[in-house]
Amino acid sequence: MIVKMKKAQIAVLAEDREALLESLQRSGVLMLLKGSDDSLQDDATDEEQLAARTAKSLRLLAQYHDQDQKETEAEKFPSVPYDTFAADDPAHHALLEAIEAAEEKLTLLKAEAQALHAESATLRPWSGLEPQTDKIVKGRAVAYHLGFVPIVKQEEVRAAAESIGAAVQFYGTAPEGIATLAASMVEEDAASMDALRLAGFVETTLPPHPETVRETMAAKETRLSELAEEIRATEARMKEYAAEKLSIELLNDRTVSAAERKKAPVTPTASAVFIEGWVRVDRLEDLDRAIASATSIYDLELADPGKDEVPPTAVKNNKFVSSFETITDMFARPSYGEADPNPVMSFWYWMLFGMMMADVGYGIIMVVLFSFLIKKMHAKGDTLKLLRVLMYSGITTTLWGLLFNSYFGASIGFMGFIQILNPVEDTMLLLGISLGVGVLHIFTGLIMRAINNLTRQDYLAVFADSFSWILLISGLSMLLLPALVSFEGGATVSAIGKWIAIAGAAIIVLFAGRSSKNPVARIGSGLYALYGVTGYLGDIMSYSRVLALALTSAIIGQVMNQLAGMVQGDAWWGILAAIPIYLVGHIFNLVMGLLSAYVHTSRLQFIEFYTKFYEGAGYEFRPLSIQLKYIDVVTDAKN
Amino acid sequence: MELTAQALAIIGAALAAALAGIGSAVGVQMAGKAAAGVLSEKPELFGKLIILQALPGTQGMYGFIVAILVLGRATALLPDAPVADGWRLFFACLPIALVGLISAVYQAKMAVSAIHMTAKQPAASGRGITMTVLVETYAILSLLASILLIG
Repeated sequence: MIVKMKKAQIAVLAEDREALLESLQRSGVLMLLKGSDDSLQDDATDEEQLAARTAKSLRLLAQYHDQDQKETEAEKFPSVPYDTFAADDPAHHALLEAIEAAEEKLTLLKAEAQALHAESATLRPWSGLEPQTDKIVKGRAVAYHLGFVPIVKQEEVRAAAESIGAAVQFYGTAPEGIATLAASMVEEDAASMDALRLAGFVETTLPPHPETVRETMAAKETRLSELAEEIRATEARMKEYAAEKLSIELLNDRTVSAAERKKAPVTPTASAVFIEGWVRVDRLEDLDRAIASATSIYDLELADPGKDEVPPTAVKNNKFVSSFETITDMFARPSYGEADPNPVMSFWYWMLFGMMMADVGYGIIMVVLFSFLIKKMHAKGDTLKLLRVLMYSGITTTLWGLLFNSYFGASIGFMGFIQILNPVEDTMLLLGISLGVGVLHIFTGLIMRAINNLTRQDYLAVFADSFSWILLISGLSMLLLPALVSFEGGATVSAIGKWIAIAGAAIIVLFAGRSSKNPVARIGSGLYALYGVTGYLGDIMSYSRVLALALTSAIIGQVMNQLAGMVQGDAWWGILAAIPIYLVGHIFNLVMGLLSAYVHTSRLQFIEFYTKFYEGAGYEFRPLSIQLKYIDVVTDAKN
Repeated sequence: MELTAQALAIIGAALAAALAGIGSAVGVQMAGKAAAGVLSEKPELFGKLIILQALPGTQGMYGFIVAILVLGRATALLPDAPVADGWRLFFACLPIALVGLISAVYQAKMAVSAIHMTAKQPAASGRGITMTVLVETYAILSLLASILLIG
């Protein structure tokens, strides 16, 4: 059912504005309107920035969450009373800043540690070098050079050094080669260096320090262990912060909600402010109460939607039907004025889904599994609705499975249920049933179109656009039925069907073009409309997918059982070997079956069913409400 | 060597499973690549994209089913069954073999577009799925044609 809307105009004193918005948000009854041209929205940049910071910190904290410590249900899905939620706590801001400071510190510490590691790595081959690095220069008598020698050239360099009277000392190995100190008399320096270079010596330098390499490295090591200690301490602090993440989660959701309030369009006058919005007629009292709890001085005016105004769409259905709303919303939201398609659609979706899966075992698994997931995940909104759709469809899957005598793909008579239909053997019969279901589904669509026309008081359209097609299609079905299945009195049925079809076709030719005044053009467009029967035939044939999917699910299930059966054999231990095959095979078939049934049932609703009557040009009723991302429930939010 | 009815039927079954399977493998791969690209930026869309990726995978299953059904008939054929019976089963396999191969690839192209659309507008994923499913209609019709031809 689509809920009627009223337009509410609220006037309060300017100083009560914040209190009013808070109260409205807490009760979640009013969808704010953009308002007149001079309505204003406050700048919410500060709140949005704060929200972005909290979100970033929460992502960060997630890394420091103690994996060993299992979160309790209450920690995972926090629920807080409204006063805790709404009261801005300076401690939360302080915690956020502390987390940000710790993060910044961690980044700096890690960068420094990385740099030190890199420096130590370059120094390591030189750790045996005795002189301080700033002494390795051209002295008064002896010139020193540092360099690398490729490992294969070590002997060559040693020989070259001996032959020219220079000295070489080899140290550790680096990727570039062996770290080497070369020394020669100052006057022979140029000549001996040339010779060494020729032998493979590549000169390099080290940053000059007044200590030996060993001392420098020891200093770096000390600093590194200091850093490691500091990083550990900071990370430990982060872990402590992570344990308090509820504060940041609260801050985030509170800030996002505050930003939402700030962005509320409000029209200011000299002393009062106006707020306009849509309210559901079944929540008028809640609106009254919400305003009254914020201020005692106010004016509330309610009006029906004007002629050129399009109110948002809110639908209200029982628990079963409302679950299927998510399927409709995926296609399009109902328009405000039309009949809610969900009650009829939910029934058909439920039936068709079951027909496509049709297995007792899978059906029971669906009911159990999805009920469990709903509880476990604390699912909300569209996720909850989708899970419920799958859970409910488990019931029809079981029922059709009983009819087909299919238990995890195997046929075992159970509790006296005999096999009524075997999809693999009675393919043609099941095809007929699928198409028959399709005809009924399409008729339901045409009846919905008639209902929409009735509310518009367009009685001729009920007759010419719905009744005519129902006549034509039932007539054609009766005409063709005896040709497919022979039964007693088939010829009579066929003859009656012929006349019914002709009557339907005549109505279509005469009335489908009624909008045009010219009688020739009217008949012409009537004939063209009759051509639409091909479209209806195509739509009906489309229901053959029900058979195809039922067959797929049945045959793949049987094949999996056969495969497992081959492994199982006759030996007692065979069952152990076969269990994994049963498991994997049926999980695969269940998942693929769910996917296929979900998309193809949706398709039958969208393309074959909704095209018959559904307008779907509505937009969502989205009241000003508390925005919750991390907090699961605000216990007394009143909405 | 003379082709027996049984051999013909088995060739048909093999073609149905193989060609439709190739189509699905190519199709799922194409959609999967597009989805992986989107997921690198928007990992939260995984649930929606996995459905789109799986859609071109059904043709392979349809081919497999026809293969199983035909194998059932082929083993029931007597060694001296007329060769025409074998040809009938062989041709019964062709609709799903050919349409399965080609429609899976084209459905994958549609799925890739729908994946890109979902990347830009996650709320439109339902429409993208519906449009992609439209392509599958013809694979389903050919599956039915094959099943009906097997008789």
